[in-house]
Amino acid sequence: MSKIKKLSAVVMALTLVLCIGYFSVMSPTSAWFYNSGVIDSGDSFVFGDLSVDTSFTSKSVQVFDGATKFADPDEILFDDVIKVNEIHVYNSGTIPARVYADVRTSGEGLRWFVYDDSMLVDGSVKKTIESVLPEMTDSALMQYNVGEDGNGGHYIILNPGEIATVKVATWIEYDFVKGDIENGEESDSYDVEISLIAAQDVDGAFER
Amino acid sequence: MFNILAIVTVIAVVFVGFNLLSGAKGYAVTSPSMKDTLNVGDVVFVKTVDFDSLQVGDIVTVASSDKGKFFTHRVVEINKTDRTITTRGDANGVDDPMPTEAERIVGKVWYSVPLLGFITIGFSFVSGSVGLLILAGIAVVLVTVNCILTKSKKRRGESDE
Repeated sequence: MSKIKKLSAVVMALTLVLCIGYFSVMSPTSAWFYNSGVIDSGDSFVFGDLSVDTSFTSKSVQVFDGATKFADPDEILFDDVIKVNEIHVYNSGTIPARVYADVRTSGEGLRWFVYDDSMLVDGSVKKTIESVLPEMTDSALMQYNVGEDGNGGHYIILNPGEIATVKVATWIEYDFVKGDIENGEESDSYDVEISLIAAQDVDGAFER
Repeated sequence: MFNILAIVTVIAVVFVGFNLLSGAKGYAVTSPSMKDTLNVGDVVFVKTVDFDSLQVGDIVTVASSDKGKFFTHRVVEINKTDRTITTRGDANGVDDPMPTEAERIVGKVWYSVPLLGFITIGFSFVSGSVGLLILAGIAVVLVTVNCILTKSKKRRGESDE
């Protein structure tokens, strides 16, 4: 009897595992615009028939040799201090898409600004920021980057087959760092996570 | 342990057998576009449906042109002339950007079961061979635990005597 029970236990365990296997090989069903894109490592974000919230994330440690302040009208070295991160984006699909950006960091005082070369004013990021923000304040910058209530923000439209270079400028504000870094005598490193999110080219299709 | 294993196995076999015999295909929900109706981790069971019997409000699963990917959304418009449907995720603010041809409709959602889809989602992170190893591991663990519990029960029985 014991042997029969043992054998039954083995058979049942195998049967149960087969049932688990049945669920494990099911196909996933996702949102329209499923992610069939290829995400290259490094600095390229290639998407095809993409997911509503298909995203590309690039993680890096950024070393800032000096601090600055975008709202300071006397700050003339702003463009020399900022880091410009370039990500090449390619819409290999058949539908126009919007590409939004997001930046996360654990460090205090990091600010960012997303743009592309067509927006540049006199080749200066600071002048570009001045040209697109209604006022040079943190809240205006935030609203530009991520939109009102954090839903949306600045985006770049990519038609099918188009390639663009999305640029994300990052810097640290001198109000938040030690004096030595502020004066450019030391450097400070920040873990920075830059994400690009591709979504349908319609309002309301993307929420952060 | 033996009894629990027996009950769970019977339920699993009946459930899987029922779906296989009924011809329903299961899909694991991996995105929140149908949130509140279908949540991430649900499994939807889909049965083939005639295009002409589809109605606005039905939830359908649709395949990509290469039949390699799927999405499950609600029908919001049916164009009988073009034989296309317009779909929308309940949680999305807008209709899906392009109509779907009848040929790409896999079927209509029959019913859904919560949480089971996490098995699919979990296994999607590992390769096929690793998945097989995990399944084999589960079988070994089940048999081993059953053996240990049976032996300890037997010992307790002997010591009581």
